[in-house]
Amino acid sequence: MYLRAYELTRDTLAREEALGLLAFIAAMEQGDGEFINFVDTLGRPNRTAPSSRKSMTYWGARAVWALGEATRVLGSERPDRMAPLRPALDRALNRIARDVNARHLVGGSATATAEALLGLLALQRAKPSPNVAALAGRAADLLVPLAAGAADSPPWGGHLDRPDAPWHAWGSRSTQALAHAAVVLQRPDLADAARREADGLWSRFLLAGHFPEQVAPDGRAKWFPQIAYGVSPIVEGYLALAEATGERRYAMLAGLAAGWFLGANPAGEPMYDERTGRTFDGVDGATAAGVNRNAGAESTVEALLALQAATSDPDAAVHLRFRPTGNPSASLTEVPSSRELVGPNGERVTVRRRTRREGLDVDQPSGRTGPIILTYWPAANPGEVRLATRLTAAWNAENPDVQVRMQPLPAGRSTEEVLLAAIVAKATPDVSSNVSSALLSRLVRAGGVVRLDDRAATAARLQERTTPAMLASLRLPDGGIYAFPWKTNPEMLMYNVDLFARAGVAPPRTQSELLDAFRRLARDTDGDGRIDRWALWAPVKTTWYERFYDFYPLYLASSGGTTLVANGDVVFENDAAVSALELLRRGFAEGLLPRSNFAMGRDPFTDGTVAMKIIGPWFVRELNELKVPGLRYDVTPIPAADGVDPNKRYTFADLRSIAIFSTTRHPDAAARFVAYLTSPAADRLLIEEASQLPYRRSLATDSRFSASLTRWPTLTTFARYVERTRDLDLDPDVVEIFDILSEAYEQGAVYGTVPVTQALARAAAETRKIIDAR
Amino acid sequence: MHADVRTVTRSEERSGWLLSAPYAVFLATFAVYPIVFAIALVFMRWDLVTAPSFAGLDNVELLLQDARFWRAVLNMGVFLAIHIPLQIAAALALALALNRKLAFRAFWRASFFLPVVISGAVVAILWNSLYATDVGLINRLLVRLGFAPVPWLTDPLTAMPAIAVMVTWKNVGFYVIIYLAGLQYIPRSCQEAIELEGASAWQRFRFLTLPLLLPQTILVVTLSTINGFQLFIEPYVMTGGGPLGRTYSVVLYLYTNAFSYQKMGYAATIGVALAVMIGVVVAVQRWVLGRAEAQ
Amino acid sequence: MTALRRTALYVVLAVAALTFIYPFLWMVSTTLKPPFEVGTLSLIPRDVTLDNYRTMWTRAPFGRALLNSALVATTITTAVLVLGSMTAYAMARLHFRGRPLLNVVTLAVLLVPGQLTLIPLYTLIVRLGWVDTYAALIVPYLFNATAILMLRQFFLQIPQSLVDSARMDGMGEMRILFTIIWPLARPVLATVAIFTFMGSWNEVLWPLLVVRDQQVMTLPQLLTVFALGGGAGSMGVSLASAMVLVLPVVIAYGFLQRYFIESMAGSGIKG
Repeated sequence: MYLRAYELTRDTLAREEALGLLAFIAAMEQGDGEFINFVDTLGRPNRTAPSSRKSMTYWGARAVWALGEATRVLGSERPDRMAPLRPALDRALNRIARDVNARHLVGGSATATAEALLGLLALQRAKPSPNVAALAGRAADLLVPLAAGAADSPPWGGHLDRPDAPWHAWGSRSTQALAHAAVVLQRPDLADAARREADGLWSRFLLAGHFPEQVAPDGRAKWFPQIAYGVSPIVEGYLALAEATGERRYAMLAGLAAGWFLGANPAGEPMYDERTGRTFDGVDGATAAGVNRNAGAESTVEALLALQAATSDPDAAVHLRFRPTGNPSASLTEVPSSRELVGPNGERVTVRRRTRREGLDVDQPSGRTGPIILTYWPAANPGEVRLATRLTAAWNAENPDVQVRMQPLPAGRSTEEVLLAAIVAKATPDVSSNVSSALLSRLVRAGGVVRLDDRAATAARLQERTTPAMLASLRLPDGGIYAFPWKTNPEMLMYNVDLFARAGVAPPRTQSELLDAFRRLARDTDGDGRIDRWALWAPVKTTWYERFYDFYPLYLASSGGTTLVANGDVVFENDAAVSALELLRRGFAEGLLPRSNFAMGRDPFTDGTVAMKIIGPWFVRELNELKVPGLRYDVTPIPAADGVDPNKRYTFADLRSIAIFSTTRHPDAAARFVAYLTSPAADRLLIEEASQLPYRRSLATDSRFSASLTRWPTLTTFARYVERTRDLDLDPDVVEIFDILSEAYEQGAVYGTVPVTQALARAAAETRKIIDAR
Repeated sequence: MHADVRTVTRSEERSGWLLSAPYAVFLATFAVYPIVFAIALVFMRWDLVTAPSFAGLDNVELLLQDARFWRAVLNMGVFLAIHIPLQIAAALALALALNRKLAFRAFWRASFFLPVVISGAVVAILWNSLYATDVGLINRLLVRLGFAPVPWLTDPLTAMPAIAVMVTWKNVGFYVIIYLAGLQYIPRSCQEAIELEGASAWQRFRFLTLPLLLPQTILVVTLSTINGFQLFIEPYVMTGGGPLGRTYSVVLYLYTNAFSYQKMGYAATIGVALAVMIGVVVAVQRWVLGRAEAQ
Repeated sequence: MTALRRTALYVVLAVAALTFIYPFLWMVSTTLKPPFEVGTLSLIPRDVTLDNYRTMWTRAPFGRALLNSALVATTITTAVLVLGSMTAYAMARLHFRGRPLLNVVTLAVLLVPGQLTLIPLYTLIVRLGWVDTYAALIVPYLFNATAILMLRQFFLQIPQSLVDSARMDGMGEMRILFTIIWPLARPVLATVAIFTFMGSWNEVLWPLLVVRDQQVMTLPQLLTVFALGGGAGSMGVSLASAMVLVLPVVIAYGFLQRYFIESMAGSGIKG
């Protein structure tokens, strides 16, 4: 639980709690891989109680699950803290292997096997190893045949420990484990196996309108007490299936199921107290009196796990607060073929049996004659248009009720003008991607965009995709997020590997090393007395956005995250700016940087005229398309001023966001589309089609994206900086401020007509004048 | 023959109104209204998205202290100081050369006039390539002749003169025609008379041709000035206003303020200031040259 | 004039003409050169290639822009001729109460530099919702003050008797204008047509303001955006795109240079 919290929020407190609990778990291991469950209040282990005897069964499997997840979340970050836990884990694994290799269920139980399997899979994700994979595969194979019955015969696919044992709600994690195994082990057959219980048994639960505690092999249901840790595996199982199969309906069903915690149960009472976070143990009867208001640790944990997972999935999150209508069925053999659920605002949703197929569909009869039409404006460049075309087509295929029409933004100097003009002419689209920060504050002032962090679908996606720290700099003064941070292109120093080798230069880490590299790389190759090979392409043009490729990234590398203006004040008059300008000045003064304007459209890096350039990952795709023969390149982080802590380096990334315009008539549908555009699948496409990076947490280490990242060279290096970026300040005059800085750059660095500090002071004064004039 | 004074018939009056009504509407919408609005915008602050707010004389005050604006004005001065004499000299020389019976006269005339019909954007792109420091034609020629290449558009000293030369090149054909037309009017008799008096070619030029061409010269000066103040596409394409702001033209500054900074009120102020400046300069020019003409 | 001086004169003229023509020749030659040859001084490329044109054509909708320019320029020219004639006729031959005012305003408008009205016109277009439409490119140019004045000048010289006899035949004003006066006005009309068409064909600032959609852009605008936006990737390609704009003009110019010269010089003088 705490591990999940830490994963989502990076809160160190959560991590410490987790580690404390993990230590406890490891202590419970008895030296041979078996575990006990309880200790008494004095800390003495309880070895005698039936549910605590030393064994490898439920609690043992749970322990393995916890340790496995810990390895995955914390293993690479804090190996020192994980190391002491490793021996206990290894012993437990061996113990499990003994059972599995003998083709016995762990502890004789499907539940324990499933939880052990989850632990193994977590380990496999953290550190892939053939042994672990094989063991996991065998464990999964043990689970598959346990699904008893068929679509029409009880128990409809439920996993039973033995053919005569009943199905238990609590701990029915086989589906979740199998689905997860399908993804991690890349075995689609396991996903099909996982579907059986979900499409069969669980469908009946939803059609019946409530969840039983137990189901006999002949289909008789024992409805009460319904317990939290019976519902939670269903929710997480559906979500795992959604990920394994890519079918959104599973995620929607997960949300509907998770509604149990929020009131969609026979007692009609929320089981999860959203204020205190405590969960009641369960429901004993059909009235409020039947709520078992004890809040055991297990319930709380289960509920939180399930809700956390559901609120991080946009499709689930949108369906979270529905309650079934009508009378709950008394028996599972006779359930209606559809059931309607009603949401907090009266909206209706129907789950119905799929025709000629297993499982349920979720329909949202909208009472409309035609589908909702949304207009979507992506960016104009060909890579992104291709991407947008594919994504839109995929969405339209899956969402007949919400159709998206895509119109590429017209190409021009900046899309800001286009969108602003559209606002004035009241001709805005519903959704537009490629919204820059420079535009955002203006859009918000004009009341032109919808707030996103309080809308179910986008809020869920924000939670899944970013950490609070990543969102901090995007919040407007009222705390809201008004555009979804979509893609980022952190800049790095790209260099020509061969030129470096020939000059005997290593990738520079500090600015003095960079200057030294300048000196060694600039040369006169045709003997005419003039340098014609230069070190770095620092643009000489004064257009404001050219500073993104020379001064600004060098400044950010040393400024520890400080940008240009903050709180209505000028903050760029500092050492980092001076050292950046000074470095460039020396480069130009000594003729190491080219002062010429290259012919229009020519890129001197591709033909080897300059050895380095500061650029973002989108350029990798361009390089690939240009197919320059013999150009070998690599990237390195932009050097910081000497003495600056390299871990405090930031780089410039032109963050692009997706915005929903307030002229839209379907904000919730638009939010769902935005959540789709930023889903893991869409993000993978973004990387593969456009060689650009999604603004996603832990991108470089998330196994779901490593394959996509390796599609382009050097992209993995870029990905490491996704969370260490700074964008343009959210200031309406940021363009003019960059123009002013360009003047300082020209005067101080390029032509050296004025000392750097003076140029900077002048720029600061001009900027203050602009701010004051507002 | 009817008398010149005619009675205006009803139907004529009506036709007159009918035929000219579209034009009147057009003028009102696309000419008069924008001018009025432009002047109104001078006193407003508007970023096109939010509602405009009254700004009093703030824009004017800002303009008077705006170093970048006055730099742009200075740049215009530099440009004109190079462009106008060059234009007059080149056009006059070519016109004189063409003002006689020549083989292929039409061809010469056509070649000089060619750049006039070409779009300014194309000329800017072409000359941007010509001036390119690395592979531009001009530098290649210089290197071939043994000189060092010159960074035409990135050296603060050469950038504006480079543009001035280019604009001269583009327009000279136009002024050649004007001078040629003027030259036709110099009566043959006058020329012959002076030739008979034994005046040298230079004296003929200085005392006869030049003064008689004064009206054309005034025209050249006026049109070049107006053209020069309206310089936009050349710096926009070739230098973006640099280096060190030496090629920043006033119109470019107007464009930047309107479309990059979204300061519509301020941009309109620049526009009005520009109109005023052009008016004043042209008036002064005509006055000075007019007095010369009177002599 | 001595033979020596004469030859010297021809040499000078030739050199001068060369400075005007050579850059274009160089431009043509560069567009036909492969990338590694770009920048060499030779006029004839060693490896003639049409790659630059192919690249350029696929990277941006130049064909479409060509059509747009043709459409816009033709429409504007037609409108200016027809509507301008109507207006000029009214202002020249018909007496009506608003006439002097119209005259004055027309002259005044000509005096005001375009930059003054740029922003208000732009905001007007935005308010009308005409951004990215042909309307934005065409409507502000439907009437051309210079053309009207030129036509008016010409119409003033038509003998009154001609008009009167036509009136007595029962002709309406419009018929008089288009069937009687127009044939007489061919030179003026040609002049107006040429400078209007050329002006519209070459116009780049206004389209840059009001059109962002590449499908609606005119040729010089697309060319500028293309060359500046780095989409060209090399000099050969950006010059190739310029050629699309220049070639029709040069060809037309080659055949009709006399009319071009008379027209554009004449309009400038009057302006």
